Amino acid sequence: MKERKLPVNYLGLAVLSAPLVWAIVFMFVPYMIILTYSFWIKKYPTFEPAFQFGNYVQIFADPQYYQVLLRTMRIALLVTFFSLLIAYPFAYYLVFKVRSARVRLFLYMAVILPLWVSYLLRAYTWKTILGSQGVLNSFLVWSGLLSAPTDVLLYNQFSMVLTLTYIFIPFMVMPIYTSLEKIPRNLVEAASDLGVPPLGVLTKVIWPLSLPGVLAGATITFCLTFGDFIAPILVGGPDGSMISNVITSQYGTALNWPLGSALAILMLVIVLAIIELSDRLQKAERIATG
Amino acid sequence: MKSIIEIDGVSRTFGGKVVAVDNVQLHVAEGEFVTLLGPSGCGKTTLLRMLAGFEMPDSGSVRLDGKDVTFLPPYRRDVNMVFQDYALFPHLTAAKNVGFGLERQKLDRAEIGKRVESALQLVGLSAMADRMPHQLSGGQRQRVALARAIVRRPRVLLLDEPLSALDANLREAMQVELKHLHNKLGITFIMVTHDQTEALVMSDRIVVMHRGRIAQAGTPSDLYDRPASTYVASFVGTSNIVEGTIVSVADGIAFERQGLRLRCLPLPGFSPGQRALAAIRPERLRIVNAGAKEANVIACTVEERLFHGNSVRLRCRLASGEVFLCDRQLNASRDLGALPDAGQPVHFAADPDSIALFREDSR
Repeated sequence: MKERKLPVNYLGLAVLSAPLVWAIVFMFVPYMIILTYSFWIKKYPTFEPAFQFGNYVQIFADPQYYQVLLRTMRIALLVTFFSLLIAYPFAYYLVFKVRSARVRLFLYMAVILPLWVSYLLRAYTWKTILGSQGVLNSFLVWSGLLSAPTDVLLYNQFSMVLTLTYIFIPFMVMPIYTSLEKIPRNLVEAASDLGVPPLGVLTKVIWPLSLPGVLAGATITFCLTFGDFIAPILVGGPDGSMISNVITSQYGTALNWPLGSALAILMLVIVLAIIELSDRLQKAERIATG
Repeated sequence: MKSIIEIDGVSRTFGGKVVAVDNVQLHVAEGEFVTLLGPSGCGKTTLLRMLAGFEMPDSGSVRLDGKDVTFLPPYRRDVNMVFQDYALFPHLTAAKNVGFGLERQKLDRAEIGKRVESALQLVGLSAMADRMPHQLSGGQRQRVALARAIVRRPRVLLLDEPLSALDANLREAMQVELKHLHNKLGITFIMVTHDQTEALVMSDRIVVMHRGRIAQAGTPSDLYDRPASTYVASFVGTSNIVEGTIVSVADGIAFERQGLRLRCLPLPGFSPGQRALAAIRPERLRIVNAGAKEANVIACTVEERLFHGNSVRLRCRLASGEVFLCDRQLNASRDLGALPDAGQPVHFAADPDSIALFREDSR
């Protein structure tokens, strides 16, 4: 028996060791380095080791930083909200209204396929659509709705939310689609049989049973948006920069690694808190429905 | 008696090819317990779903209490259904499941609570009101589904294979309980099943379906004793079916199959030389001695003796090659030894009135 057990343990260790080593070397260690930096002090032109919370205090004392943080949260919330607003009816339509499996697959793939296209390209697309020389402006001028191209479409929070919603919406569609697909059809029939019209079936049966998918989609979309730093550069403009851009500049031109590290750690804590919260809600849901 | 359900000339074809229901005509009296019986794919479920409103017929009409409901959506029909796998809402308690359909009706909270309580009481689940579906056993879920379907006091209760997911003992108990519930409520029950025993035990009337059509409709004893076709004879209960020729119609009908001659009761519609099928129930055969002076003596060889507990089934073969089954009830003395063993010859006697004759085209 012993002889049989031993190799299995070795095998398990062997299988786990590579990802474990990877996670330690490329995730845990860098995070620890950043955590350490976040307590250091900036001493022009570089910084020196210390253990103090000045960098964290600065984030909450200087409006320049906490306002970017708040703006980032607001944009992430807006993107999550609009993604849900578009993704849910779309997924609902696919699962419950499209009868042909082939059409359903085609429409689903139409949403997922852009994920294979480079992120940069997708973000850049909106620049060419919304820009003052862009497709939308040309159309508006051509159709006579505008006399001259407008620049209100690009380089603001509107264009940021629009672009980010476009980029991250597949991550909202996928879990919602999956959770809707898992709802047994006879539950819809049972509700209808009990005298509940279609709208009631949606609000009292389908929506509550799809909440796990909504929660998963919202969590992914929020976290991805929260950490994004490309869209602000491409379509964001001066008041569109987000927390990641500030961190980038602290490590770059501002040359303040300790403050950048403190911001990064704060961001990590926020994202982890959201994931933990989402996880608990999911668990509560599972306990409630079995 | 007044018809509560009138199904007239209803047909339904799926995907332009598969004919699920083919010109069905069925009227059901108020308070009747009707069972749609047949193998899978015979159209019984489609017919039930058209009554519920989940399917619309391609042609024909469905009337409920005199009102045309052919194209009425499910939520506007005064019928409720017990689903095959219960279809309980997993996010609601047993009581909330039962009350789900009441919240739409203009009832105050106290009235809803009272009705839910009494429905749960009726199915013996008052103590489980606050349990979630996943905390209930299969039998309890079935009862919740039942309570949910009757709480709105529908004119007709539809049951789609309601007992198929239960184990044998529970199923038998629920058969009786459903029958009692039917008597107590006095509403019309339409049940779909492929289980002939269930249909025989529970129904006032059985509708046997075959390839989208009604093969025969009648009381359980009608169907069992006077099947209209060999299909019904072999689907409701078991029948030994022999194919042969009519040799004479004078003084009762004489039927022959390779040396086996059977005398049957007179029956119109047969003439000498015609091909025909004879069906005999396994329990109607008596074991006799080789030279017995009986109307019909059938000689076979026993191939297998199957012990069923309270009875024994002899699986025999005729000289002409057909399999012949004979069921013997075991009496108090359990005379298993008196029955012939595998490999031994045996002679059966069949009374003329125990043989059902069918024209060859009745299959």
